[in-house]
Order: sequence, then structure tokens, then C-alpha cells
Amino acid sequence: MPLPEWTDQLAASAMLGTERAGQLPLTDPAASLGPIIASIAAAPAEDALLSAAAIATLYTKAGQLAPTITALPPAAPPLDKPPVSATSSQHLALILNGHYPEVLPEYLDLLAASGRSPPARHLPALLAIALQKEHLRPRIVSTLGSRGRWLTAQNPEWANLTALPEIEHYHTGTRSQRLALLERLRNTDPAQSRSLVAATWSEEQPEDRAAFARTFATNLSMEDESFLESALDDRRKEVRAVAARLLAALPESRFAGRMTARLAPLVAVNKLAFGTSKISISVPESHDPSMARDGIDAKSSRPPLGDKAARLAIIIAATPLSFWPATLGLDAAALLKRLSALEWEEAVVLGLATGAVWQKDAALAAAVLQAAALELCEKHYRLIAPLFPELMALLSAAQREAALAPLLATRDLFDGGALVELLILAEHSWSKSFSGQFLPFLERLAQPATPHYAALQALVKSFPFHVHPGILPTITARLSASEPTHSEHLDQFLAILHFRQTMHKELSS
Amino acid sequence: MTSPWTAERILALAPDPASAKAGQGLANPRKWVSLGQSDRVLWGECQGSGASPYQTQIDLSEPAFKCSCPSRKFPCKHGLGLFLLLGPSAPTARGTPPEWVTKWIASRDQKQQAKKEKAEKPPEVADPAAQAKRAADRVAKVMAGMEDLRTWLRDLVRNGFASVPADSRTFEQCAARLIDAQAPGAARMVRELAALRSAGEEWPSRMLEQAASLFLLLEAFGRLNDLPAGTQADVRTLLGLSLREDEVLAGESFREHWMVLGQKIEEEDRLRTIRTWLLGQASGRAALLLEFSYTGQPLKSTLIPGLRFDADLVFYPSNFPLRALIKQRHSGSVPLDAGAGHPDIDSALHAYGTALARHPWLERCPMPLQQVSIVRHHNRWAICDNARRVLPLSPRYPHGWELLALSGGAPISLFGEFDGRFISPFSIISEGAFHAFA
Repeated sequence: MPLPEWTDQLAASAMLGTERAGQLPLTDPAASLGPIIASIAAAPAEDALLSAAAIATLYTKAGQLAPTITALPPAAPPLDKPPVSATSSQHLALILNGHYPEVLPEYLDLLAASGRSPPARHLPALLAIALQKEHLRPRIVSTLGSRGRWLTAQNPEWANLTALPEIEHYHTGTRSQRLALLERLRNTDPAQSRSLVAATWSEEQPEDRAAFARTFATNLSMEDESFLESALDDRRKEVRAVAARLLAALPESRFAGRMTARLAPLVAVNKLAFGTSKISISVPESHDPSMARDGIDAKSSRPPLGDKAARLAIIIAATPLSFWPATLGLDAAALLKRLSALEWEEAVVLGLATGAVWQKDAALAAAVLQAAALELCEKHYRLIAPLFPELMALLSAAQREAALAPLLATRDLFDGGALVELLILAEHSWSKSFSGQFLPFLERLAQPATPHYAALQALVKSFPFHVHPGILPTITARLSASEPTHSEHLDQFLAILHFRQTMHKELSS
Repeated sequence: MTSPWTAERILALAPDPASAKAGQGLANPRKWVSLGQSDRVLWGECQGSGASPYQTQIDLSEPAFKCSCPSRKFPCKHGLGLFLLLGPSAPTARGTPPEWVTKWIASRDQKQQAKKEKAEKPPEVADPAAQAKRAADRVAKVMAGMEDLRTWLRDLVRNGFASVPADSRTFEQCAARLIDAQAPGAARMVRELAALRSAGEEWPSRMLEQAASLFLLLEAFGRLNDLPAGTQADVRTLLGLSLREDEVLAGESFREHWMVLGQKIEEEDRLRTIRTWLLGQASGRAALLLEFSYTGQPLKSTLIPGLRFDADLVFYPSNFPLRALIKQRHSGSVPLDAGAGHPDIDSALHAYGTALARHPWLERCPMPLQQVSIVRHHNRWAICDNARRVLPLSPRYPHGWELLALSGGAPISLFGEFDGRFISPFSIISEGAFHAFA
């Protein structure tokens, strides 16, 4: 009897119990256990069974041989880039273990710039994050290195991370695969992407139509115009809204022409004495189906704006910004400074801010953000605050710092909180000089006896991740001269900055 | 040489999360009035709420902490803060140790010397007659408990495992009886038997294995005096009749360069057990250090995987000695430089068989291996040697992908525990670098 079978028979006897199991299988399974089995045969059945099991177990365990496999899978190719230092690997471990999760994007950027491989040990954790977090995926995939790419091939779950979406995916894939393909094609071949979408457009679900239309934002051009114009006739309002917003970014489109034609009669300049002039802007009194088709609703969806004011705001947002210099002799940014002279000022502010976003106008976006911190009254500020993230996203790092630096220098801003909000949104890595300009503001932040809650939160949750770590010695020197009020927050701020400083040092040497 | 003390390792010394957080807050030069370090000691004065600053110092040779603050936590937040601040950088001399530092170091050296002298003297027995009586009483209690266990085990097998419901109280009652009989080791084995009742499809054969192992222990206990001295010691240990540390330390010591190859912290009923595996660099001999503490108490262990130190170890008496105590250290710790172990899986399994012959109750056998690769075999993790023999990793082992990523499928040195079926790696050396997995 083979040994495993004997073991099974013993287990079966134990299940039943010696009282009912009958004759115990006390035969020699291995031709060498004979004498020892013979020595237990005379014992009471319970003892004999337990002894036999002890013999079987020990004999099996002590005598086991490992099975063989036919071939070893191929090993990874040699590393294409030298790995990061042990200290840097430790930094990544701290980030991945939840000590400073916010720093991960910065770590990945530094890693990519360093020309080094990520620490092999943490590749599985990085790949797991790449699967979960779409916004980090490209960063992670691009830093993988040869070891990481080899590893993704070993796990079917990860293999898709590095595979490019194929054209077939548009017809067979899941919604996210189809979107990934369209996003990729918009970057490389917008015409092909457009014809794929157009071919199946009428069969798609409304949610998919809206999502596919949104991909047109990448490399948008007049070649997309007629497709988007026809999308304005879509049954679903959400799809029409996407098309209208995209067409607003094409000043030569028929849509933009219609908007200009709607705005022109509402804007007038009256010449006054002594060479001055008065600008007046009125609201569209009536509403018609063609307005509805272009995304101008009859009813306001933006309280506290009324119906007519809301219509005006959309018309302003969708009319090419070149309208203003051509009509008024001053641009949209200048118009922002003359709001108080206008009757429908709320609609104008919202229209211009939305226009900056839709038409991707960085200069106007910067002007709107500056005005929000410096000049706008509370009511206007609240109206456009939801657009701040999109406005900030239009600005490059240099543009952001140029827009925010004058605000940092203005001492009496602080209570408004607007600057704090804008600094939180300026999520890029701040330059050393901008960080230096931030310093006096930081000192003021730490001083007041009545804490400004949002500012203190930003001090530990936001600013330490943006400030240039090279400024740490200066900050430490300046702060230790005084005894700041909110030292706990400051310490946390400094601890994070210190971590980032060592992380930078480790990855740039 | 870089410091072995990373922030992660330092934070692991914190007695609780609150201390870890407070320590991180103090890892900030602004908090310290003075700071200094030498090869051996870190010191600093931290401005607390009191009038004079607290004096905090760390002897890196173990490391040991001392602080003048009133905190009852150990190490306190000042010690952790100072360690976090200065520990992770390479040791560089900075400043001259003030008197309060040199004094402390001198007194530590003195105590160390006194401890060594005491260890060399045989333990004194206060009242030999009373002690002998206590021991005899205990043996009598244990014997009675063993007789009950034998009856219980026979009943279990006579009635059959199938007659025991999954939620049966019989195991717990039997274990409680063994605790009363002062045989906690046997009680633990009975509780493990209960756990096997829900061990999946294979539970009847797994339960029979464990019951057989208990029975073997009963048989051995029944003729204890006929067994070799080492096995007698093993039986006593298994029952829970362990020796005191001073009794063990009186035994023969064994000097080696010990590599710390694995460490695992297990927590059960608020009791923390730290298992630390050492491997002698020259002898290839394995040693297991156990440390117990209650949750919330700091760990005294300062053995860090990946380091090597020269020390005298004394092994607990056993027919296959593994558990040991450090009697005396002869050096600080340095990073270990090379792996050691069996050249292939065949010889590792042969060594396991030999170990089992000497200690048939051995549950977790240390298994150092060289030249093995990590492979995915039938969707499970395994190690594979150059002869293409494979040994499976425990299905519960969580670090398979990390091992594969680190090794890139190339041969590595590995240290693990083998339970007779699966190996659970504790550390590897890949491309010259040591990596531990807790």
C-alpha cells in the first residue's frame, strides 16, 4: 500500500472512531516500517491508531522529496537603469506606508528625472496603485524600468498597464478601454478618432456619447466643427452641453458666430464728454429654440442669477474673447476692472470667468484669479469660486507664480482667505524664488492669536508639499528667531518639508 | 558605512502610536537646545514644559535609552525624537560628550561587567530542600494532568472525529484542565487541535497528525527517564516546564558571528512574541531568540535583521537545540555581507529529516538556502533550485510578488521557516543586498 493511501486510511479510521472502524490498517506501507508497526499492533486500538499516525506523519515528513518542474521561467533582463539608493528606497517605503502619501507624484517625477530604477521591492505596491489610480498610472508606467516591465508581464492583472490600447478595443472593449483608446488617438491621430466615434455614434448610450465627445477636447480643431455642430441636435442635454462647450473654444465655428450675433446687440458704448465713455451691457429679453440648441437654457441653473442674467452669462462665455477689444476697445481682463459701472455685473463676471475656462485663455484666467483676491466683492467671489480649479489648471507654473506673487506682497489680503485658496490650488512644485516670496506670508500665518482655520489646515495639508525644499534652512532660521503662535502646525509643516528635502537630495545626487 | 537605523526601524521601537507620533514631532532641530553625537552615543537637551531642558541620551551599542523626563513610557518621545533626528545619518562625531553623558556610559559599562561576572557564577539556590519539594509537587500535578489528557485523547479517537461538532467545548475544557495541571505547553497543543477542526477539507488528516503528536508526547512523558537528556528537556519544554533564564545561562556558551536573518512579531491575547532567527556565520548553526512583552510595553529587542554581531550564546538544553539566550556580546552590530545555507532543496530537506529524527515535535524548522529562485508554479509561489526541484511557499505568505520583483527570477539566498509542508521566507539576499520580510 502506498504511504499516502495508508495515511488516508488512518484518517478515515480516526473519523469513524476505533469503536466502529473495525480492523485497523496496520500493514507496512514502506517495507521498512515492519518492526515498528509490529511493536504497536498489540496495544489498545486507540493507542495503536495514534501511534500509527505518528509513525506515518514523521516518516512522510522526514522522507519527503521535492518534486521537479520541467523548466524555469526566463529571468529578468539586466537593469537598464541603476537602482535608487537604499535611503531613497526607504523614502518610497514611507510614502507607500501612508506617512506622506501626497508626496508620491513628486517622488515619481524626481525618479523619472534621475534616470534611475524604482526600488524593486516596491514595484508590486506601485503597480497596485497604477491599477487603482488612473491619474498616477502614466507616471508609474513611465518610471518602471526593465525590471518593472518584466514584472508586469508575470501578472496578467498588470500586463494591461503597459499594453497600448488597440483599435479593436473600440468595438470589443469595455467603456474604459474604449475611452483609453480614443484618448490615445486624439493625441496621435485626431481624424481617426473622430471617424471611429462618428461611425457608431447613433448606436451609443447617451452617457457614452457624452464621454466620447469629451475626448475631443484634446487637439480640438476646426476639423471637428461639423461633427460637434451636428451633436448640438442630440436628444440628450448632457451631450449638447459638451458639444457647446467645445465649440466655444473654436472662434471660427458657426456656433461662435451665432453667439457673437447674440451678444452684439446687447453691448453698447456711449461716448460721454471729455473723451470718456460709458459701457452698457443688457440681457437677452426673449428665448427661442435656437438658443436652447446652443445650450442657452430658458431657466437659470445658476442661482442667484435670474433667468435672463444666466442667459447673458452663457452668451458671454461662448462668444470669442476677441469680441471685446473689437467692440469696446478694451479686452476682457480690462472689462473686469470696470464691473462696478455695469448693470448686470454678476452675469458679466461669471460669463468672463467661464469664457476663460471654455476658451482656454490663460491671460484672462490669471486676471480673473487676481481680481478674485484683490477686487471682487464677496458676492462675485462666491459666484466664480467653483471655477478656480479649472482656471488655475489653465496656467503654467510660471504663469501661476507671476499671477500670485503680487498677491503675496499685498499685506492686507490675508483675512479674505482667497489667497490661501489660490495657493492651495497652485499644486505645482513652487520655484525657489516664489517660495521665498511666500515666506513673509507664512510668518504672518503663524502669528495671529485667532487662528484662520483654512490657512492652518493648508499649512500642514497643502503648502509643505508645494514649497521648494531648498528654502528649508531659511525658513528654519527665520522662524526660530520668533516664537510663533501655531508652532504645532509649523512643526508639522517643517517635518514634511524636511522629508521632501532629503528625498530631493537623495534622488538628485 | 550607512547607519542601520532607518526611520522605520526607529519608529518600530515606539511603545505605542502616540509616542511614535510625538517622537516624530520632536525630530526637529528647533526643539533641541543642544545636540551631539559620537560613534557610540547620541545626546541632546530638549526644551520641555519644565524650567530646565530634559537630558536625553542613547547608547547605540544596543541601543539603550535614558532621559531625565518624567514619562513612564519607554523609550520616551524625547528618546525617539533624538534617535529619528540623528540616528538615520551616518555616525559622525559632533561635539564633546558632556559629563552627564560620559557618566551614564561609564555606569553602563560597569553594570555590563557586573552582569557578566554574575552570569559566570553558578546560580545560588536559596533553600534547596524547599525548591526540590516545589519541583516534585509540580511534577505530580503535571503527571495527573497527563493521565487526564490520555483518557481524553483515547475517547476522542474511540468515538471518532466525526462525533465532535465544529463548535465543541471539549477542546477548551481539556486545555483548561491542562492549565490547572501546570502544563501550558500541552494546553496550547490541544487548542491548536481545536483550530484544525476548521482547517478546510483536509481537517481529519491534519487533526490526526496533531493528535498523534500529542500522543507521542504522552508516550515520551510516560518513560521520561529512559530518554536521552536532550529529549527529556524537549518533553519538559513542550509541556511548559521551562527553565529560568539564569539556569540556562549557567550552561555552556557558544561564540560565533551571528547573522540576524529573520524576525517576526506575533501578537496573541495582548502578549507579543518576537521570534528572531540567527545563523552562525562559520558554523551554520541556527538559533532562535524569543522575547515576550505585553501590548503597549516597549520591545527591548534591538536585534535588527541584516546585521551581524559577535556574541556568546547559550542554548536551551534540547536534543536539537534552537532556542538560545545571548550571554554576552563582544561587538556592536555590522551589516552582514554574505548569505549562507544549503546548496539545494534536497540537502535542506535532508537536514530537516535529520532534525525531525532528533526532535519529532519540531514545528518550525529554520531553513537557510542558497541559489534558489522564486517561481510561480500552478498559480502558487514556490522556490526552485538549480536541479529544478521546487518547495512551495505557504499559501498565506503575503510577499510573493515582492520576492519575485527583488530577485527578477534570478537565484538568491533565502532564509525561511519550514513547517514540513511549506516554507515561509523571512529574508533574502539578492544582488548582494539584504531584504527582510516581517
